[in-house]
Amino acid sequence: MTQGLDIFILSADLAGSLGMIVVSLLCILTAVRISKREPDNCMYGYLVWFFAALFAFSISRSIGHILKHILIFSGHVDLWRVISPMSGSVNTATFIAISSITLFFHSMRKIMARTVRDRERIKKISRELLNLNQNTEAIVSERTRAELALNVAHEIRNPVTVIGGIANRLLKNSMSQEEQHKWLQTIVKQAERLNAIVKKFETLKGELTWAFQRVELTGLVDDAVEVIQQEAREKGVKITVRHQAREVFVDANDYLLKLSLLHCIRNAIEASKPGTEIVVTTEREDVGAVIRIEDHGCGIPEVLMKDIFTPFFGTKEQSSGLGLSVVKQIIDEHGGTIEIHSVEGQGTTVEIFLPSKLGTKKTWASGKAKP
Amino acid sequence: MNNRALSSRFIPNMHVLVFILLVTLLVLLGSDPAEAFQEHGAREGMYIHLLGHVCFAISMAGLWYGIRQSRLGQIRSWRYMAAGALLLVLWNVMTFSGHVLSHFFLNKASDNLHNGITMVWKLLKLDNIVCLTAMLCFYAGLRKMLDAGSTEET
Repeated sequence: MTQGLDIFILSADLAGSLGMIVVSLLCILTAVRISKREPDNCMYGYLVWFFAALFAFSISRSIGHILKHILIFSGHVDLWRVISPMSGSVNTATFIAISSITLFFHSMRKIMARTVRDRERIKKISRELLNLNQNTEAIVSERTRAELALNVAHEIRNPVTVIGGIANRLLKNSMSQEEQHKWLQTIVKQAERLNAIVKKFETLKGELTWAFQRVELTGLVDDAVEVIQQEAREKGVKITVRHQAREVFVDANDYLLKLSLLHCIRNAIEASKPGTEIVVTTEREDVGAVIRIEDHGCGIPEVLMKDIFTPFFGTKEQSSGLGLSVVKQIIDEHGGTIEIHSVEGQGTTVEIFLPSKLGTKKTWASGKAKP
Repeated sequence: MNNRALSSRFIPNMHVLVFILLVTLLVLLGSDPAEAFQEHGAREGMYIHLLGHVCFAISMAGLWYGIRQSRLGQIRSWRYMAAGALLLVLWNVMTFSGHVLSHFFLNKASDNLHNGITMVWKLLKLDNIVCLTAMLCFYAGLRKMLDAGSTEET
């Protein structure tokens, strides 16, 4: 009975010692993997130290136990007596190491709690900034529209009044041939003035300049999704990002492009029902890249599709109606194209095509097959 | 400066202080038995080993309590970690008792008592099972952490 218990204890000790080595090795390897995934996370870095100490403890203890059994069974009791204090000392040292490392756990926990709080705060501020951005866009567009209307009215009032007056007098036919010629010349002059005003508006578009640089598209998409993730979560909508290629570079203004993406993703969130999914995909093409935003929301009625890129056209009460037209303009400035495919009640897919180089605009526009 | 700020400044210093104290104790008590003034090396070695077990047990109890008291206690992966820490407390109690029995009681007890103590001591030698279970709990926690990715807050 006692011998049976001894054998069981011996077997359990040997198996346990081997198991400890294997499991502690798995622990340290897994901790390193976790830490490598998020190198900036100090808690994960701390776990590597903690499990390194536990690994040292397991090795020292298990090897000591295994050696003890081997040496005693092989008749080398004296050798074990020499090794035993060393093994015990190393084991004790690992106890102290584990205790010391564990002391810092509470500090790490506090640091992590503060980091999480700060991250929440940054997200909140980011959301507020986005809202501010939207409001500013609405106010600026409203003011620009009013100023534009006033300027146009002021500039064209005189020529139109003159043309109208002359035309009335000509209709009455109460003038001589010479007088009629003189007044027709005035009409031509006023028409030229109107033409000059129109040209002035045309040159406005040419004055637009953008700061473009090489931008890594998958990272930009990830950033945009991270910014808007909270809005999606609050509505119970899941955003999934799929990158078909690891790195996709395009010439772009990262701020404007991100703004466009945010606008498209926000539209998708607003259209989606809770529990549905939005899939954002990036793909590398021969001469550029494609960003696809796919939702399973309410879709856009077919009658509205032709007007969705028209400035000041909108179905939302709070909206300026500039959103998608601004998005289109930004994509145009990048030499890309934007297409929206929608089926009412089933969902909408926004496809943005961006050339990798700005110079490839024409090749891209003509070479890209329409999906 | 308010009390909270004072205490948060004080806590890391405390850790450093305890760390230095433990290392000093280890160096002083764990010195080579061959040195002239070390007359009872084996027994002192045993004392420092037992002290190591006490430190180990206290730190694991602290880890378990820290996890349970914080929001980490609501995360599954960290609950496994807490279970591992608690099992290591149990392991330390078992091994501590085993060492005390074998070094201080086993050779001095009467025959009847000796048989009883030997039986308990032998059962305590199964501590490896508890230790291995603790390590498995830690591993399970780490796997959960790895699988959960960034969806779990740390």
